[in-house]
Amino acid sequence: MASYTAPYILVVRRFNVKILSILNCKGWFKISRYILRRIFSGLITLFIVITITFFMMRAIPGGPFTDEKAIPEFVAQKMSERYGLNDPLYIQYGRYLLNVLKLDLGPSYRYEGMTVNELIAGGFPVSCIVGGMALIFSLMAGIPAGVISALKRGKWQDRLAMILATVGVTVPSFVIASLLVYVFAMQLGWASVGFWDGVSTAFLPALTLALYPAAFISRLVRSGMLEVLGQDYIRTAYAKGLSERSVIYIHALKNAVIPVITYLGPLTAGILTGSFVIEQVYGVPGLGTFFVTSISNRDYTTIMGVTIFYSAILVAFNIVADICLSFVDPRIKLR
Amino acid sequence: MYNPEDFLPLTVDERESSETLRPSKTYWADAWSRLKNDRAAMIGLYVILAVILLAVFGPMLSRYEYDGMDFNVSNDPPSLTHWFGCDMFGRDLFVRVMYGARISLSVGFIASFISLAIGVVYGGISGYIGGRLDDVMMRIVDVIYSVPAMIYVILLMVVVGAGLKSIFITLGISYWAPMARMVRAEVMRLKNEEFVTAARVAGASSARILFRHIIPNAMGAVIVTLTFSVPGAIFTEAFLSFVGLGVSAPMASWGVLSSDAVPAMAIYPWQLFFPAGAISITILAFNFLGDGLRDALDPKLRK
Amino acid sequence: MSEEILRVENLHTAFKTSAGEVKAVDGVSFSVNRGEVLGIAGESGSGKSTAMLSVMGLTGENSKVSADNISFMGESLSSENIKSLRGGKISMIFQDPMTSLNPVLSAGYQLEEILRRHHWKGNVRERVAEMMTKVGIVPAEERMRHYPHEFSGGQRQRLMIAMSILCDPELLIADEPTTALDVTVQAQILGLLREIREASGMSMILITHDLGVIAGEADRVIVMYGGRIMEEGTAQEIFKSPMHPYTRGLLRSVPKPDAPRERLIPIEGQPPDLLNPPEGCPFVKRCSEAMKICLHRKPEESCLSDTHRYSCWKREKE
Repeated sequence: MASYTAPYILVVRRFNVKILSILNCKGWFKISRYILRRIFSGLITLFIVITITFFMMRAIPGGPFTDEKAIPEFVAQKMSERYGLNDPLYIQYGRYLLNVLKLDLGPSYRYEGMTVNELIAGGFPVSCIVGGMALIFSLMAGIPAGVISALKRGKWQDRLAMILATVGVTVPSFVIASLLVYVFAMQLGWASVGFWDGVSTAFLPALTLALYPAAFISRLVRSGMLEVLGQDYIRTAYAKGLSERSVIYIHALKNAVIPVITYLGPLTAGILTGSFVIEQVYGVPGLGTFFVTSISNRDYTTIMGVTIFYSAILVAFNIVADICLSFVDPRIKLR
Repeated sequence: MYNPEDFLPLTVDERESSETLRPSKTYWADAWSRLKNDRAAMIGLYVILAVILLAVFGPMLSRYEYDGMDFNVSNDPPSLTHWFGCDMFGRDLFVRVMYGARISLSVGFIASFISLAIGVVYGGISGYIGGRLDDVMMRIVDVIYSVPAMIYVILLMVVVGAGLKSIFITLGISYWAPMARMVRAEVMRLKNEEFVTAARVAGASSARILFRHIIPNAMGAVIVTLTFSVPGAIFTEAFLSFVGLGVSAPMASWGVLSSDAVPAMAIYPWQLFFPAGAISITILAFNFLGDGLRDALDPKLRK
Repeated sequence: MSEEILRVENLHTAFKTSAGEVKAVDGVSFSVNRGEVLGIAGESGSGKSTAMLSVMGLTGENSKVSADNISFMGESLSSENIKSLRGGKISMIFQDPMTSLNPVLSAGYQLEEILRRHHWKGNVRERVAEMMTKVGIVPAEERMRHYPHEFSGGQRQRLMIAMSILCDPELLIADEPTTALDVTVQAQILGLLREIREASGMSMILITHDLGVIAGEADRVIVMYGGRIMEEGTAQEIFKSPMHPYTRGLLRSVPKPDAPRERLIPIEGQPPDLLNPPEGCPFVKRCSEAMKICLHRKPEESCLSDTHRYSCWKREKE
């Protein structure tokens, strides 16, 4: 957890009904203060991101309309005027910043009559379904696989899980995606690809998207479990007469999932960016598809808007992950 | 039953001969001997060496040029003349995959070394000086962490334009943050060790202490991070190719080759199979080697 | 007073490692009587902890334990029935209280689960609070909610002790209970253990390399070296008339506060490599009185009294 502030301490208690009752007003006050502080530093991060993105986009040689041959000179002039591109840079920057503050990411340069907000509102729910399913899949597959392979270290279960995990991290996602499309859609006809019909068509893309994080999580959990199982407190737990089950699932697993929770932030980032490719292969009309199209279209406002949006999501997820972490690991102090 | 001689005191020689001592080794020799016993890691190492050799000498094995088109053999399957088949322009895929190895490997290595250089200097200074400067420098790393790296890369690529050089630069300046964090942690751990105090007492300058005494001792962890960042860069390049920001034609990396083959995968599967296989095998090899190195260099496991 | 609680005959424990089999315990026999404190002394690597972990069935997967007989309160122990006794009738505390408690579970939980596991008849929380108060962690109700990192080293060892006495054990195995603690805290912990023992009449096996602790606490003493018992006797016998050169060496290497100042004599050399255990006496390399026979043949045990026995070839001459 990245925090370098005052040596000021409060521990959030375990997520446990018994103990929630102890969480008095003072405790909640401190948590909300922590969250506010994190949101504040997140906003600063976003401000930096916006600034960098803005000036990077403006640093591209030529305006957004100059490379477009289909547009006559005077039309390009007119459009530049309409989008305020002839104003001095600092005015444009100030205006953009103000608009972002009002949660307005501006008009799209390419989708005539559409705003970036509308594009995100159209694409994000779709990406959310796919991404959310992928998140659940990767945790559901990764954690048990990691636990099993740690417990059956060196046996066939371990080997199988680790081979799958290795495939998951070594084969590029678009290759796996195309293979799955080929097998399940074109050969077996179990899934349909190329159109969007909600959750039923999200299954295969989500599965593909989950592959890399699932592989990563299973390796994380496996090494975490192996390390934890060698700890003194596990021996203590056995010495207390506890059953194998409670030693593994309560004493060991709770410690071994801590690295998974710290991975939650990067995991979200991975799923967000992974969706660029997956959505394209499966023809899912999500935000990733819009982003990739806007890159090839040189649709600068959309690129900027989506970048800022993604960063905001990541910042939010990092805060959530840190709060989750403090619930699982009492040694972490929310500062 | 007992011989009276049995009860004579032991001589010095007899005492010595009963000593069993295991030979002690230096850190690197010890690590190497442990790595040698790790079969997966050694296979990984050999595969990487083989891929490097193929990247350098592979194109000489074939009489075709990587950009030589021949529409008579468009989309031909693998055969004795065209070992990996041909693409839609009739270019020989074997040569193109070998050239792709050059590009993908140089992306992997050069981008990693750039990020290594930035990361080591940045993390080293941050960790060694500490205090306020460390706070500020790590804040900056935090900000970088809160933007998905891929988006950052894409933005930079859009700005500097597609091409091999931009990929080197972009990946190099995008992926140094993990290296910097790792080096900082190592430096913070090492800077209180006695050999550093000894160097300071001997009057060595801060820069000298950092780069001659501390960083070399952090090399184990740096090498391990490097083995994982090389395949990371290769992967990212493949990803960029798919999004249309890879190297430009007629040059081709493995990423470009496989993403070009995706649309027609059902009809000409070999066009995808060979470049995708090459990426997978190489990344697998780096992963095996990295795992092995981590085990071999981990001082916690040393006995 | 002489009722036998634990009896172990000819215990062998070996670990499989990549470099070969390590014989950590090599033919160890002993017994513990009701209410007595058996001290086990020896350097690190002498097999004293491993012997006790073997009795508890806690040596892990890559180990091989065999014994002619292990019985607890007249009942023969197997790898199965030890599980129900662990934490109940036999309990154990460990050297490093910093790492022996689970960092992500509250102190209260870690105590309560023992009672639940052993089907405690009364009120679980009350019992936990009672025991925490008994070991001096107050206010118990509040401290139960705390996590291990919120306790000091001495308090964590107190918690471990509270855990070990929750189910009124007959036998407590304390493995270097004070080694990781400050000297003042050491005395408190030993005092606490003595108090508990006197109140409940339980037996204790005290494993330590600290002869001072043994002298203060133990009724009988076993001296181990290289996985074997070198000498066994009452505390009186061991400290007043040690027979084995190793025991004598150990006693010479610790200061005696009441004796006139004298030179401490360390035992030169390193403990034997148990991967290739010596054919004869494990102590031969470091023994100042070693003879030719010690290299090749294991010494047989000789008894000086009902309680005092030792393993050394030297006896033949004396």
